Amino acid sequence: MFAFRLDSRSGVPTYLQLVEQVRRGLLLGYLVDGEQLPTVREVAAALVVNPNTVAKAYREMERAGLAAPRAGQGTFVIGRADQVPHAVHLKLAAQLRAWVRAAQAAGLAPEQVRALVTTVLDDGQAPTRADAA
Amino acid sequence: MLWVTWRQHRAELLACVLLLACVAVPLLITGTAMHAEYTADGVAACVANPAGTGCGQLVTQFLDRHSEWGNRFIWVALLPALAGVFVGAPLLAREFEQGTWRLAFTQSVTRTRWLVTRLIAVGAGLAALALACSALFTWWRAPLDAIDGRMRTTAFVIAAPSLVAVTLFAFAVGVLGGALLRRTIAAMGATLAVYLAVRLPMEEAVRPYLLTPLVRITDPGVTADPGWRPEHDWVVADGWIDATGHRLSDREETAIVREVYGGHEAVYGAGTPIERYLADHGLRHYAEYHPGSSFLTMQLVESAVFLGLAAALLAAALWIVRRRTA
Amino acid sequence: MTGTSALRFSGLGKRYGRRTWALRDCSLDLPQGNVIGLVGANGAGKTTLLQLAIGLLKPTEGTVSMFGRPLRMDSPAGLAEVGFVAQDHPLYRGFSVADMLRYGNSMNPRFDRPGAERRLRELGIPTEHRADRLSGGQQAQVALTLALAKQPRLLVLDEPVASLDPLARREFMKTLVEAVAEADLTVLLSSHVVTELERVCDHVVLLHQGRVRLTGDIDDLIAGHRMLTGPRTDDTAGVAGLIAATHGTRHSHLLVRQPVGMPAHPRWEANPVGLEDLVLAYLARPDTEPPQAASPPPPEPAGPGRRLSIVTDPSAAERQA
Repeated sequence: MFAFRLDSRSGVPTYLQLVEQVRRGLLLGYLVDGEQLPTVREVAAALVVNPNTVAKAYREMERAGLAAPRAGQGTFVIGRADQVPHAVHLKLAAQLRAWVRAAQAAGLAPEQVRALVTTVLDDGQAPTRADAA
Repeated sequence: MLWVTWRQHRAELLACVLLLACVAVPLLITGTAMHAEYTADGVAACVANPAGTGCGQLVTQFLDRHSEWGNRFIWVALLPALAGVFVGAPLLAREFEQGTWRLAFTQSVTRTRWLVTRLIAVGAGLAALALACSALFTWWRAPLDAIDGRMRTTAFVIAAPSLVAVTLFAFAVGVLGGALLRRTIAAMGATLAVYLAVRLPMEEAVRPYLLTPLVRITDPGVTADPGWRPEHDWVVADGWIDATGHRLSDREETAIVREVYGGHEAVYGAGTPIERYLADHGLRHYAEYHPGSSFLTMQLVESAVFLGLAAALLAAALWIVRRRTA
Repeated sequence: MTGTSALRFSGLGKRYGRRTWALRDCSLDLPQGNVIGLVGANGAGKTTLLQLAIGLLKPTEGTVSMFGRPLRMDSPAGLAEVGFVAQDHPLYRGFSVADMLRYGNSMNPRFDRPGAERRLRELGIPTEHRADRLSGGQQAQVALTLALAKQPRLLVLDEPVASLDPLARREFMKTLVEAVAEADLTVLLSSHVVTELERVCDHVVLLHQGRVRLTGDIDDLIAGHRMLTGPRTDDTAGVAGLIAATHGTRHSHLLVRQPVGMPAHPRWEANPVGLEDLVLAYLARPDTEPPQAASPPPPEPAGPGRRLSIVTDPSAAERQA
């Protein structure tokens, strides 16, 4: 089952940290469509946080379309239709690693790598920022 | 709630019962022996018929052997102090001292019910113990009381109504002390002090006048002693009175004694020179006394006084607890 | 959050002796179903406020109502609604843990003894042991278990973890949040350590020198405040909702209370502020009046008793974060 964690120094409200973890989990493929999330009580006890905060996070996930409750069963993750399959994700990650190694071999500093990636992304996706909200 | 009271006070109850048992065993042994002696030696017969031969001597010998121990029961007058100091004082003081009052006052039982239940249960236990003590001591003293009556201090303080009432009074002093002082040791000390401050004057000054004493005026005993008879009256004041009804002051009495005996040692009693002097000068004896028959009335009056005090003190303690805040 | 109030204080004040006001002008509306943290330094009036809330103290002025009715702590029904864990978690000396459970059982008609026994078993606390010989953490757990087994609607805890080590604190708070998750329970707990409360509470009341300095939903408060950093500005009079300002030689940090989404001037860099920094900033404010919300009025009208909190749109807060 998905394990939440908290960074109490981040300054980000607890419920947003929880929502963000589910969002990242979906983006990175740790979470898949239909997977059950732990109950509010389990999350509250494991993290020692207020159950109301966890419930608020779950409500927020529902509102954002990340998860949905099923009566009497619990809360389940909703995968995006356009979610990249885990295998594809792994393959792309391997290719990216190879490219980054090549960039490093060519003498690019991490800052330069990041700037390059950002530039390429901005060039290609400027008109369609659908899922950045 | 009753279980809570039992759990909080069971150690005290056990200690009291053990203490009572420790006292009861020797008392039962010596008491049985004395009762046997009382009948076997004919003292009982003398009490029934004081005119019997040699009764004065028999009774005197019996009293010589036993009244010293019998009079030691005067210490029973302090027994209620134990109830006040070790049961009453800690009842509330310990709750305040250890902070458990915050636990007790936030359960689903009102403070009134909480305290009243405890006071009734513990008070009833103490009353039962006092009753048992009283029964034991009164039984032991029965032969002595048959001779001397029950109005004397020692016999009086061990009697049931008084001992129970005074025990409850001492308990109430302790409870109120605990409510006011909130420290166990301080409450214990205050309880003992207040108990003595009330009990001693009560014994010395108040009890003789709880009822109006009767007055008896007798002629001087010019002839010899008529012999022994049981004496159940409690004489609280006596002296000489003249024909006009004037009671002689201490100074006047001293002057007469000096006149009769000069520098010699004074002797009193029937047939002595002083009696002859009194007869010659128209003086007579007077005595203020409570007859033995007033025993029960006096017990009830004294008990009512102490029970009234106890009720007032417990009501005050309840008032404090109801208002008690951090 | 059901919207009704668990506790409402109106103009509450408590004076000890003739002059010393431990608490003054306290008007609060604490929402039902929340875990409310009462924060303040030692001597700020936290214990006074808690004991007024449950009727262990009588107010010098003002009123307390609980679940919409005047506080009635001289009736069994009123008493049954409240669980209280006092500071230092007093237990009867010489009582075993089982005795303490039986005590609770005979003092409370709704006492859940099997539940309490199960909880203690899960915590590994032996019931046959003397309660006063347990470790501090275990004694605190026993006191909490007793208060919870009463099945109260409001649980009040006075500095529950102040005397505990970090592990025992965590265990205690875990028991507490599990109980909140299981039952419809409003919790009011005090502490002088903010970080202790940040995770567990969703609502905070900041008390300073007997007065309420700040109150509101924690997420709303954090979303409603930000730290502006920019070139040094000594004239801060025009800054909306300024709470605190610190200055360097060439730059200034301004803590401001502003409606969520209100755009900052381009020369300022805006950053979120943690609860601890927020609390410290409010404690350091020299004025004795509770601060008002920032001058630009928030679009939503502030509800009664929530005048200090800004009702926020979570998505807006999210965008900002």
